Amino acid sequence: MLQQAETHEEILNKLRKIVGNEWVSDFPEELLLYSYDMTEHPPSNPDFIVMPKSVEEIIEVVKLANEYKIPIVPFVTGNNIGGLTIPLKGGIVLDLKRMDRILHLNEDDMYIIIEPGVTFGHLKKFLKDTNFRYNYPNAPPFASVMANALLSGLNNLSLRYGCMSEVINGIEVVLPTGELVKIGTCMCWDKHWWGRGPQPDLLGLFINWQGMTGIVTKMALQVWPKKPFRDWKFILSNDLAKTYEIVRKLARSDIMNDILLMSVETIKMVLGIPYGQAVHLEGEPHWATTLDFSANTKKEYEAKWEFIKDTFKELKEVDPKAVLSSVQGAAKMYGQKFAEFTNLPFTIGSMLEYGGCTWVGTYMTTNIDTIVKGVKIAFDIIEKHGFEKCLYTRMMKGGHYFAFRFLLRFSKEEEEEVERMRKLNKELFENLYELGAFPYKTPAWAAEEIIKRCDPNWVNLMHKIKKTLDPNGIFNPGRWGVE
Amino acid sequence: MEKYEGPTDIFGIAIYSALTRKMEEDPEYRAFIENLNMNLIVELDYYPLMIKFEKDKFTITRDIEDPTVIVKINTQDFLDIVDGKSSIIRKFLGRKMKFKKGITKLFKVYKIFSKMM
Repeated sequence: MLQQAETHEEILNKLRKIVGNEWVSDFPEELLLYSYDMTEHPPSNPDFIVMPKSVEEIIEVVKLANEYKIPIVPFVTGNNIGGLTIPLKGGIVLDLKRMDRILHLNEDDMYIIIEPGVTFGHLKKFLKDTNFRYNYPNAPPFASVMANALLSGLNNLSLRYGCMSEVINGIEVVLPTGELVKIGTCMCWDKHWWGRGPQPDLLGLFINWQGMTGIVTKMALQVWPKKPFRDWKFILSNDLAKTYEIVRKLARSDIMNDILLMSVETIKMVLGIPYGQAVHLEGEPHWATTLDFSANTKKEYEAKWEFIKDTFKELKEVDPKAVLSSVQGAAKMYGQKFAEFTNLPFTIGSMLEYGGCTWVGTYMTTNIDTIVKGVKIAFDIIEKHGFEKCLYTRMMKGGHYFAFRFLLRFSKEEEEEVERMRKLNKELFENLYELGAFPYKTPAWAAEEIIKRCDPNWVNLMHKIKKTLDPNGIFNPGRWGVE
Repeated sequence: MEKYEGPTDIFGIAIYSALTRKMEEDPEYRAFIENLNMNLIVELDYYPLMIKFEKDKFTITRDIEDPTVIVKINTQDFLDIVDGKSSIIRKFLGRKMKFKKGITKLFKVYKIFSKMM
């Protein structure tokens, strides 16, 4: 606990005055719920849970936190798989899920304005009867749209548009000192949130900072027109290098929405094969690739499909057993779970039911030799530690970079297994970093390792910015080597 | 979670899931499957699978024993049927689906797969 009992009561009463009695808690049972997430990261209790309903309430809580110099950690659902909302230094967990309004859909400039508590489920329902689509992750419907964007998540149009921070038009943010600032064109006009430039782009002060520099209260995100034709195909194959080569060719063709390249173990996990049994069996294909594309007309659709089939033939020449089929056809066999690949967001029940799920998710070069080498190294490490080799990768932004990650499930009931997972993640990080892979949603321990290895002037600049914005060091302390 | 008792190989899971689901949806199909008594081997180019039909149950395994029927088909041809791009009859007549043993069970095999897909 950070405070003496008297101070604790004093803060508690002041928080109650700001947000109302029922939206503050220091009950041990509730603090416990916010002390951990599904990852292997050690738990750490907050002192208070506060659930504000308005920007004004957030500002008041921030001022109070400065007065008492207690940490604040923003939180929506804690679903980030990086341990990022575990309050490393205690303090207030500011749960923003009551702020869940979709404030506006601008059909001219194609963006939405949302509050932090808006989930992918909310957004999908909202857009259902419009002409627009958003970009969904392989994550549960209760995950936060805003957190996903601020943390550079990867979604099912990321091949077209890049990671989600790249589609933010602007934000409204409460600084650690309590000022409310607008970033983007909305700084000039309340009704224009269409872009970030051409003024100096200050959005970078908040993206990937994991709540260390501000609490974002509104965000404008791009949406895109729905296309009348959309289809999903899948490939099963054995030759990784050639499969990856055609994945890259299709990514660069500028005709695809999304391409996922996964190990067959990942497909088994999605299909509900129990923990420990999602392993590759002799004779099976090693790799599954899903291809998502859309078109404005039937002719355009057919032309794209022809290109995909021709590209697949190149794989078939090297890997004669490779097959190409439709996701809908596979769903006839495998059932609804497989169909969910086309209907994001969705919850992979079998991923979570053992209590633990983690990854070292990285963005890295698209170089073929590096990817193939990375898979081999990572598989050896995972096998050594006795976990399932569930690889899940995605080509990003037209093939400009690559998302390389694993979905690793484990049992949180066994401390030995949790410790083994920590060792595995560290070893994966160390080896993949050498290949140029950078962990996104960077856990605190990985950030510390990066700081040891990267340009020291970058670290100094980051610390200077943090000190300037947050002189009392109260916003999510303990991240990126900043106490 | 419900205990999973099916196969864990990628094609076995597909056949097991489709058969189980169809049996739940269609009582007539269920009765038909539950009255079969044979070891049906599906020889895919990746690996062979055995669907063992016994009184009131079926199991799918990669351990082949005492085959009653052996059907050979490429995975791509199998998936084309699933996809609706082709049919069992067409694949059979085009010799893309071959009976290496047990051709007399042709209609039973046809019924198992055509209804399942």
